[in-house]
Amino acid sequence: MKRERLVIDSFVIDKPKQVKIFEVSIPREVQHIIGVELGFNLTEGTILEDPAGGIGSGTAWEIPLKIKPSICAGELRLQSFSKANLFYAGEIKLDKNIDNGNFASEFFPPKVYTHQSQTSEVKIKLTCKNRLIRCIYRDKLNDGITGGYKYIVRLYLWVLKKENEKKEMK
Amino acid sequence: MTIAIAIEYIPIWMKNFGHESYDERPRQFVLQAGETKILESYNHFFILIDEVANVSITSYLGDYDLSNPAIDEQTYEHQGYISMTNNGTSPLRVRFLHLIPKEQNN
Repeated sequence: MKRERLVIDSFVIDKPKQVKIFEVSIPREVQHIIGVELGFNLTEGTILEDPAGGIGSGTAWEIPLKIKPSICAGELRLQSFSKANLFYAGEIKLDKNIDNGNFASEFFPPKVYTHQSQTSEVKIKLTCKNRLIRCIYRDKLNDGITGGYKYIVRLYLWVLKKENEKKEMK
Repeated sequence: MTIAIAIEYIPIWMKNFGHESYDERPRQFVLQAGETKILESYNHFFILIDEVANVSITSYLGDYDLSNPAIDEQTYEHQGYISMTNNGTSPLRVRFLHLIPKEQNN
């Protein structure tokens, strides 16, 4: 029987332009990696807000119809030591247009975490012949933030695992 | 990475990625002070075989810069969009082994 499972890894970024290289080991029973998802949690530092209005700008509220540039926190690449080589490249983006066109945002300013638009799984299919996945993360948040900062990046790997049915019966 | 390690390591590295046969070419780039060179190597690999100071190399597989404290691990294998910059005030030589996979007839 095949079941979907999740392999989770997290790491802390606390230096500007930090390059973090690490390896995630995949359990032996895993047959395929079927999806990649990224999470972001800022623990220290304040992200610059758009002075022209919008979320938490402090100026008088107006209907948010202007498109603001989103901030790229960093980019992640995943490499498998097999024929697939580099199989995933993605950016962590902080959405600055979550309130776009929202007439109720004066009283209830929408945030990414209130509207569940943070997570988005990227579907892939990678056969796991080698049990190590090399991860290369580059921080790019220093362009959109002042002073020091610290954040946690979570990497979620959806895997397809072969499980023994007899064990499940017990 | 020294040449001795590279010679032992390269066949394992290439076999992992499914390249049983490949060509090896020694390459030596000269970078003037402050100069940046770009290599586009999406199907090939460049293995750095020197411990060069004052140079920063960035590619899809990682970064190499001995003077940058933000880099946790130095990367000697490079692929993709490779950018080399001489951060010093004198010219530098950067030596690579260029690995070119051969086409396989299946």
